[in-house]
Parts: sequence; C-alpha cells; structure tokens
Amino acid sequence: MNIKVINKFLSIDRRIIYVLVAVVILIPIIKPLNLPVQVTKEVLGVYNEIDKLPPGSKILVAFDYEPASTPEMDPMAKAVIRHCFRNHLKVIGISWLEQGRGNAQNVLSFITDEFQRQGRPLKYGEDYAYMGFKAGESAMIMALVHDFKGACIRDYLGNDVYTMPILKGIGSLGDFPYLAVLHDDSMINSWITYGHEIVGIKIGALCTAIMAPGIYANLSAGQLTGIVGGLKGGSEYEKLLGYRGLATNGMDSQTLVHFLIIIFILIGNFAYLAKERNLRKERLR
Amino acid sequence: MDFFKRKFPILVVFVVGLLMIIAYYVPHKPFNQFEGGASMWYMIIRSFALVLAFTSLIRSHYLKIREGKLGWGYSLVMFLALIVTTVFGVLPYGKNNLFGTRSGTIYMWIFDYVNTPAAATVFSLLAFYIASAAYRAFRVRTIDATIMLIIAIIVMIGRVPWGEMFSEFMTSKISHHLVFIRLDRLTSFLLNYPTVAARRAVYIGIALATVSTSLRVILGVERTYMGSDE
Repeated sequence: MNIKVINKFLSIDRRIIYVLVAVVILIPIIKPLNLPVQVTKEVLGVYNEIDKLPPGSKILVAFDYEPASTPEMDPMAKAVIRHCFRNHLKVIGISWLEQGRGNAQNVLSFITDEFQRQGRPLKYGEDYAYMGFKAGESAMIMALVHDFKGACIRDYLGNDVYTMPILKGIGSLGDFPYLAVLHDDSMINSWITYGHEIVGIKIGALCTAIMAPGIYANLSAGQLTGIVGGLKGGSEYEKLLGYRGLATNGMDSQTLVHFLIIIFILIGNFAYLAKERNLRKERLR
Repeated sequence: MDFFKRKFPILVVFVVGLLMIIAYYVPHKPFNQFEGGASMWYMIIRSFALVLAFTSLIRSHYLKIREGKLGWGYSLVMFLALIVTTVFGVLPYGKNNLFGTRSGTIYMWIFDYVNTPAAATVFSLLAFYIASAAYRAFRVRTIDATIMLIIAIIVMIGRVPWGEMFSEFMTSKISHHLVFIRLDRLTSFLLNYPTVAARRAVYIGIALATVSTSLRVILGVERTYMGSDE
C-alpha cells in the first residue's frame, strides 16, 4: 500500500472522529432502530428478587449516584421504582451521596406523578418515603443496622420518621427484605460489608457500565443477587417490565458507537501493520 | 502536655479500634450498643467536616481573587454559585415555593437545569475522547496489546444488540456447532471468570493492606494522622 495512504489512515483528524460519533449517536435518536435486547441472568437476579416480594413489602433504595451519571442511571432507577409500585411494594429511599438527593427526588416524583396520571395516587409516608442525604458513609450503614430510625431521625422534608406509617415495624436495616443500590462509585462495597455481611440483607446492584465488571466478584460470592449494569442493564430491565424506555432507545446509539469505534480500531491497526510491513521491506533492501 | 498531644490520642485509637473489632465479631451486648453509639458519633463528627470544607473553600478562593491569580474569574463564579445555592437551599420552605430543597424550588431548578446538564455534558464528552483515543492507542504492537484488543472487541460487540443478533443468527440459522463464537456468551464468560479472578486477587490484596494499616494505627506504630512533632 502507498505510504501516503497509510499515513492518512494512521492520522485521521480527531474532528472527523468526533463528527462521526455525534452523527451515529444522533441517528437513532431521530429515527430509532428498535433493536431487540436479550435479558441476561445478572439482570434477572435483581428483577426476580423484587418480583417475588409479597405486596406491601418494604424495599430500601439507595440513590448513590451523581448528576453526571443521570443519563445512564435514571432509566434503570425509574424502571426499578416503577416495578416496585406496580407490585404494590413500599419504597423507602436514602442517599449517602449529597448530590444523590436531587436525583432521588426527581426519580420518585417522576414515577409517582406517572401513577397519579394512571389513577393510582401514591401517598408520601405510606407508599413511599425518602430519608434524604445522610452523612457518614460506612458508619451510617452501621448506624442503620443498629437503629434505622435513630440514624435517620427525620426524612428530607423534616418529618419525624418515628411517626411515619411506612417505617412501622422497621427497627434495623435487616428488617428490609431487599436493598437496591443505585451507584456510580464503589459505595456498594460498604453496603455489602456492613449490610449484607452483618444482617444478611439481600442486595441488588444497579450501576454504571464502568462499575459493573468490578462487582462480578461479589455476585459470584453470593453477596449480590444480581447486577443491572449501565444502559444495557437498564434496557434489559425495561424489557422485563414490557416497555421501551430511554435505556432501550439509548442502546441503539450505543450499538452504532461501539461498531464505529471498532471500525476505527481496525483501520488504525491495518494501517499500522501495513506501515510495519513497508518498513521491514525497506530494511531488507 | 505531651500526654494529651501524643499519648492520649494513641490510647483513644487503641481502645476504640479494639472495641470496634470485638463488636464486629461479637454482635451482642454491650459491644453492639457501643458500635451503634460510635457510628452515630461518627456521623455527627463527619457532618462537621462540611463546616471545615466550607471555610477552606471560601478561604482559598478569596485569596485567589485578592491576589488576582490566573483564573480568579472562576473563583467569582464559584462564590456566586455558593451564595445563590446556599441562600435558596438553606432558607426555610414557604408558601412562595422559592426556598428550601423540595421539588419545584429554585434550588432544585439549579440542580435540574444547571448542575445536572453541566455534569452530564462533561461526562458525555468521554464518548468522543474514548473513540479518538481507542483509534490512536489500540495497536497490535505486542502480544499483550493484541490480547487486550481482541477481548475489548469481543466485549464491545457482545454487550450490544447487534452482537447478540449476530450470535443468535450464527447458531440458529447457520450451525449450532458455531456456539463457540457466540460473542454474548463469550462476553458473559469473560466478565464472570477471568475478570472475577483478577478482581478477587485485587480485593484480597486490598483487604490485607487495610488490615495491616489498621493494626499499625491501632497499635500506635503509624502516627502520621497526628501531624508532625513540631
């Protein structure tokens, strides 16, 4: 191959790459491809545990992700909360990340408004509640293990948690049959160490795609019931609930971008190998 | 004076550390009560760290503005953001729906329309940088790099619908003997076995290092947390 052509392929202007990435992201947003999604056993592990809880059960949801992760995390957060309310479960939210509070408020109000429109109004304090941001990281979880209400004292609206009907019968973190942790950091480790290992609470991890590979070790050790990782996990959860949401639509763009990146990697490598071959030939001459 | 400056903190760390270890393994009275109380104390003390962070933030940015250092304008923006969010977030919620941190307040408006889009935009830029970096850096220069490249391509294809569709097509339409090139299953294998093995080794290393550092602190060998002698 001509050396000029090889060099051109080896130094494609980054602006061309940026424009192509933008185009392949935008195309499915304008015209969805409706690609099918296959459900994996990791996502089923979370879905089945929530699905088999009897109506009226209380589920704790930890909103531990930052605004930067909302495009990836919000679809799965909405899916899991929607699943809980569809099954008449009671949702109690909590955050140990200060900015997780805003995300929790947005997700909970979005889903409760949706149920309101569908003619099934949900009552705050009875069907759902949000404890707000609680400082202390691991120590907060240890405090929740010993005395859940004592560690919370008040919810995010300033209500006394001791008088909230939804928390009747909850003395410790171990009184919850399930904990769904929405996270974009390594906080899941503390929930496992001080929650699962001490009081045996079952945990489902819902996280960004970048965090997922790191917690497969916990899954295989039985410390997690399942993993919902990134947009892919979110799209699988949406499929299990029977609708195409933001995660499923986002998978169209993700598919195209993955293939675009692979094409660029292949172009770069073919050009690199061709250049190496030319250099070897020149050396032999 | 030396007792309160050097020996007393070591004694406190030794006693509390030992009690916390016992409480973890003996979750019965009185150790569990101590653990519960200590956790509450930690949460309270930790909240005061916010005051320290607030003061430190104001001090460093104030100095930057006063001395006219490079980028002092950003410090002004920081002060503006700090004042606006604090005022609207801390003042009590009223009928006017302006103050407080509930949905519909100005604080939440800032969170929804400034904080979230700005943070998400910066994070989203990664998609562009990763595409460009992958093209430039992923080269089959060595055997290690080639293995990494092949695995990256398998996972990238196996985790998206086209990869799943391709795998399904190959096994159901062409031949079920082609099951070994089912990229979705190969991806699942890579995540469930080699990744777990490597991760577990890292976890064990972290755990051993944490135990050794904690023991050094509890036994008073590691004293850097008390600052220098001067």
